[in-house]
Amino acid sequence: MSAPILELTGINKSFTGHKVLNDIDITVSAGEILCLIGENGCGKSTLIKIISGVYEADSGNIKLNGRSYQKLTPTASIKEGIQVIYQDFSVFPNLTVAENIALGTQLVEGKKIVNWKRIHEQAAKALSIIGVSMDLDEEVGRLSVAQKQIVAISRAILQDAKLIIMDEPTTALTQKEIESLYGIIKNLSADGVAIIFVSHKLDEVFQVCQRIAVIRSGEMIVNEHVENFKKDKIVYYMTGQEIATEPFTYEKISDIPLLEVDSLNMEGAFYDISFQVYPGEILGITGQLGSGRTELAKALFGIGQITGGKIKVRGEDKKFKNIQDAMACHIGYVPEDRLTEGLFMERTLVDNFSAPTIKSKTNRFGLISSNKMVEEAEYRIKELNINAKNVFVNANTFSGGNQQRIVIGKWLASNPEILILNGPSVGVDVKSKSEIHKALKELAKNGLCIILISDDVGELMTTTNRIIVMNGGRMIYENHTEKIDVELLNAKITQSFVEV
Amino acid sequence: MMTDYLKKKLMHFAKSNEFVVLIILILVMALFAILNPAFLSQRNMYDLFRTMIVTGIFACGVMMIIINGGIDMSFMVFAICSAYITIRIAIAFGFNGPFILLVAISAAIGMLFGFLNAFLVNKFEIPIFIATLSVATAIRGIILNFVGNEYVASSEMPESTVAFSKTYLFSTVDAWGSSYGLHFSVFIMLGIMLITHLILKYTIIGRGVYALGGDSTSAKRIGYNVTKIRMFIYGYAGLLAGIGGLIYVSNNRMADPMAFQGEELTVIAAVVLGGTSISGGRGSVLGIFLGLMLTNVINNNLALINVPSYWQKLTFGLLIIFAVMIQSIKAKRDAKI
Repeated sequence: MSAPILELTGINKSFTGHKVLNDIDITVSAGEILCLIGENGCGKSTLIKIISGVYEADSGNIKLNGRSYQKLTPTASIKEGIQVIYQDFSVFPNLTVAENIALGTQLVEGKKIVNWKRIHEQAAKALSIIGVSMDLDEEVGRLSVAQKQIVAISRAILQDAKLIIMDEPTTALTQKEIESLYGIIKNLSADGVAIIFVSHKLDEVFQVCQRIAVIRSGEMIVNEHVENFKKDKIVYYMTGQEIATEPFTYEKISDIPLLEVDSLNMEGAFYDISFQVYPGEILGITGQLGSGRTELAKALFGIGQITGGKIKVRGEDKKFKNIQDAMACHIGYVPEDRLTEGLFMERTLVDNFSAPTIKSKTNRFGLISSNKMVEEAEYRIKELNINAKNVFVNANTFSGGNQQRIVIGKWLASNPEILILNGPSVGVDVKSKSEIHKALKELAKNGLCIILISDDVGELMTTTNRIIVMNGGRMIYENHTEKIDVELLNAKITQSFVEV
Repeated sequence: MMTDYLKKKLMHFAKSNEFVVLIILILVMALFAILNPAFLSQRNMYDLFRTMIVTGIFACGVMMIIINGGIDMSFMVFAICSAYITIRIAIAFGFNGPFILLVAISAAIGMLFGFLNAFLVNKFEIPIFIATLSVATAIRGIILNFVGNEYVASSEMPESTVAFSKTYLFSTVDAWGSSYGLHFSVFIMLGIMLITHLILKYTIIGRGVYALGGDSTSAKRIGYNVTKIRMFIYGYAGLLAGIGGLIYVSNNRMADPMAFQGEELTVIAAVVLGGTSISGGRGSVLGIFLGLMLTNVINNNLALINVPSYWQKLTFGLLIIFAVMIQSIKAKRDAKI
């Protein structure tokens, strides 16, 4: 057993009287890959911030590389080799790859003058350690998410990281990119770098980690080697309750398809897409990032230029020139990125719920009636089981799962007949996820037609009744969910696309 | 190998905002040269540079603030106020020393004003637009109250300022016997531009200005002291305002406390025209130099081809819309890649 890099004993932390962390012990040794899991708001992020010196623990002992710290500062934490890779990667979109990787190191070394040659050398060195080649002069804003992550990891390595904490690193990656990330993580571990891997996705936890620690409401519930871990117990550990997932069964409501798509084309995005959806169905559309799934979803909501094919709603030919056209056909769309596309973060629930349907919230003088808005919000909170004190709180005060439900509620307010959801459970914890799924199934039972865009295989298997797989902009597979198993679906999603 | 490197650099430049400005500048200059052959004369070029001096000095500070993600509405007031105070102090003490000392005093006063901006932003997190606008308005108020429009005429100004305003280099005599030259302040402007470029490109704090404009949270996370960077930026902008103000006052041979009213936007326009991104994170000294050339070429020469001054304003407005439009189209195209 190698020497521990990080030793936390009896860490306590409260915010304004509310206990966030209770008596947490964690030890991480060199080269170890520890997975830290827990629901949103369980105290994971607080714990990370204590390790990185951003927050100070109320009591408890922090030992880094054998040295005890009474008051750990961010600089001291970095000096001890602790590096955090945040979900947004903390990269600078306006600077080059080389500078993003090496600027921090020069800063920490106390340099005053920039040595561009050294920046390039250091950046190249860090990239070669990971075994990735990249144009050092490219602006980071132009890179893909996976490349940005590699930049962030390279930066951490360059700062002599002994422990790298990755906060949900796989959220925005494709299957292939995730696998190469695992490769990088395992290489780092072999070189003696310890990793704390924070995740929501239960499958990946078992693939990459050696030890799993589960935190629930500020308490360390388990901290075990992966071999001793029962997979089906994880959800129980995280939520404190058994969550049963039942597959969705579709009951036919009508013989007439609500939405028909006939050989739909969008140049450069998708080609020759044909399918039908009936009321009460939940149709899953999946594929890797860049497979055209998002473009298709947006096209059905009037975003982007359709270059060929037909869309029929209730048997009538429709042309969607813009979002208004799609909304007039009672289509709702819950976007992928709820932070930038889905919610007015600084506004109250009342405002958020009423935004798409503000025209119907007027009184007889044509002025906006706040009573009607409040009624709407109160109704949606109940319908979707949103955990809110009242309807006048701002959207940004909610956890990811609740925010996602607010977005869904916002679109339900417009009484859609077809609801398109793009990645509804990305970055959402297990419990909220299952509640979102429950809500969706309920809505489908009441006759709503749902199109669910997702790359979460587990989600597709338990919430849809039919799945379409896209690859390279084309539909390559379609079947009823009950006839598909996880392995087959995974294989279809990741199979390399052959140009026809 | 070397040619590959050069090729890459050139390709990079061809994609930059600066390149767009350069092309527009060349086209506009070519147009004026055709309409009025006197345009390309050495004398006209010298005059062109001369009109750029003060705005050029201000633009360096303003650009730094905009790159960092802010905006400055106070530099003009700082400039005239620092210069006016300096001149009045000099008169009060019967100062007869070198010009450089006056510049230093004015720069120091300007820098203190700049620190005031930084303090308001750092300490109370007042949005910079509001902070600079209200500080500027307050100072204008103080000037109005205590000095009104009581200007200092050239006869009362310290001798060294008047002497400075007559300092020319490369003086020549034209065909009609009148002499002309390149004013010395042009070199001060170029020097300040060079220093600003070196700071932005080759110092850790200069890169911090870009980092902060790109993503302020990330800048903090990699260890930048944001408070210190802001002090530096606003202090530097204030210092340049002080220098520019004194040069303006000397070259005009009159210290008018009411000068520069509402002129902030012409400088900001030149900075933005030069490819500085108004949302922060991007901008270069070369860009603002070209932007200044462009605005000044248009401003000075529309009169030469007998365009009434109303049309000058219109052309100027359209040009800014055009430049910003190109920037946003480019940004959109880049985002798609």
